Amino acid sequence: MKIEILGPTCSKCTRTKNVIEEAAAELGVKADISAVTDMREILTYAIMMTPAVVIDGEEVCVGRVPTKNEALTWLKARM
Amino acid sequence: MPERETIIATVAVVVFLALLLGAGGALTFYAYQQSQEGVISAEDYDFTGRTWVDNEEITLSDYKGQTVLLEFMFLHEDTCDHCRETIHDTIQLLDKVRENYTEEEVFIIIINMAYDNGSGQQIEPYMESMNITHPLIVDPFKHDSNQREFNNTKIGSKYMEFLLTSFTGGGFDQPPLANPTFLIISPEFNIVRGHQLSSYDKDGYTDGDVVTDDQLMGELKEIKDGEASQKFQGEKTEFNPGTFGSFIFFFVVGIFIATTPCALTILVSLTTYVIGQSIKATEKEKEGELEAKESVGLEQMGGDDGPSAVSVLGESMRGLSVGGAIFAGIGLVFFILGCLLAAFGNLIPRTGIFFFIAGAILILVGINIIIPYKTIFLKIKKAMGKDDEGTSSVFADTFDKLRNIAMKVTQRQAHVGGFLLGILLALGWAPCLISMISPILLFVFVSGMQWYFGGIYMFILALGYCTPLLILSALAGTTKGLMASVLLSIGKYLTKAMGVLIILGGIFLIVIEVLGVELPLDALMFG
Repeated sequence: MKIEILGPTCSKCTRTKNVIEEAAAELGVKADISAVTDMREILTYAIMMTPAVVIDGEEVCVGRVPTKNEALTWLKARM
Repeated sequence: MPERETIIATVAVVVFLALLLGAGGALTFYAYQQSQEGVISAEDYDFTGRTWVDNEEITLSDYKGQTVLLEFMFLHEDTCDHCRETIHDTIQLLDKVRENYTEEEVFIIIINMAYDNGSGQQIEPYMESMNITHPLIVDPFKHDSNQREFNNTKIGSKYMEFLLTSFTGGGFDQPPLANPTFLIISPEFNIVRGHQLSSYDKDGYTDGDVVTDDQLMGELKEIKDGEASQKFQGEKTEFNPGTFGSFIFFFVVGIFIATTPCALTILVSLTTYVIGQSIKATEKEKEGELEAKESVGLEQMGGDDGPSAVSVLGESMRGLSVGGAIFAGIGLVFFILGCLLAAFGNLIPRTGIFFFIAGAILILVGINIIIPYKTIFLKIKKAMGKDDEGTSSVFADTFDKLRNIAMKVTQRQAHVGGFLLGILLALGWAPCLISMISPILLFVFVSGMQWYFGGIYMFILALGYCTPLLILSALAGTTKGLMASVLLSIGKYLTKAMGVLIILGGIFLIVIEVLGVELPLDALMFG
């Protein structure tokens, strides 16, 4: 599973990454979690706002830090 | 060629920052000019006269370095009863000034423009009945039906031209020298205040230029302590918005806010999204047209898929118009917000506590910009074994729903959608923007400006805020991304700097307004 966290290195983006990492660890999912911080790259995704979470190319969360429960749901649905 | 793009983007950013600096420089220069303009030196209005009672010679310029309250009045045989009452009250006001300030602090000179019937004794009885103890110079005039009476006076006539041209607002339907007229001369020897008054009641002067006893005492204190502007003010003193300098100030602040990483990323990704939707919609339309043409057997018309100069221009125009639609949304919300804030702010009495709270908020917001409280808060939470709860809340959910609606609109009509998304953005969809904008909101709230100026200022802030966005929207994808990332790397430091400035602003507000120490900031910012 490929999870991308889009956003420059702001505190919200870091928090989003932490939440996703914790959720993945809890479920034991082997996921390739990467932070996309370069603005040029971020613009290639059609997202409206950062931070954004993209799992396997699908945008699941935009413009806010997700809760751990939300993250768990997204990951479970793709296991 | 990425190297070429890098060069273009870097040049663009340098130009952009140079413009920013230029605007800042222009603002400072303008503020300086404004602070010099309208300073009226009392050197040109110097006079010498003898006091009525003690026959002592008084020369105005001898009182350089102290505050002088000049009071012009007409007390003589023909003075009407009502005017006499007013003069009586005025003398009492002068007595009050003397109670509060020593002669060294505020020197009072009364210039009495008295009708001279030749006897030279016409005001003595009135002087006695009014118990005038302040130095009084009689500035006599003779009747001349061809001229206004005081044009014949020696001292009063010197001030005539000045009084006619320098007083603004505040009821200048009074004669050039009303009975009485106050002029205050600063220790720096400039004429800094003027009041033309006529009717006096227990609340103060209610006709002409309204001033209460307390206001006059306050002005004298400011001037005596060297805290007042050296520019002549001949009208009610209040916040004077509408100066070009303060417009530029708000515009530049808007630009600064936009270059902070959080704001910039949001604005850029939002516009890119909306532009993307707009392009999609156009392509669909074209496909539709093409199919229609093929079905009637026409050849493809004039279409050139290569990026011709025209299409590059077209894309820029599209970017600009989409950016403009988003700006319109943001500007609308900011305008309304500014009007409301200024209107409500004016209802709150200005007390020490009010300014203390405002200053404290600024300091807290500034610290938050440098080190977000949330990160500290979350660390503590984590240490206690609790999870990050994200930003999911009723508020966030509502925004998610509204955003989905706006997105659907955007897919059909990009400009309308962009407008709606701009409204959502300004309404606090992105909380990180709030901490950057809150000092400005607070300023509009406490400034005491008229409500519509609150709106205009906030609209100009929105214009500055959207300017980088408009420039970026007009650029092609890769250049835009590159320029945005260069701006981002600078923005990190700008954000910290702004945090520091906001903290300083908070400290200043408390020092100035609560502790009563006045700094000449008004002159710098609002000319």
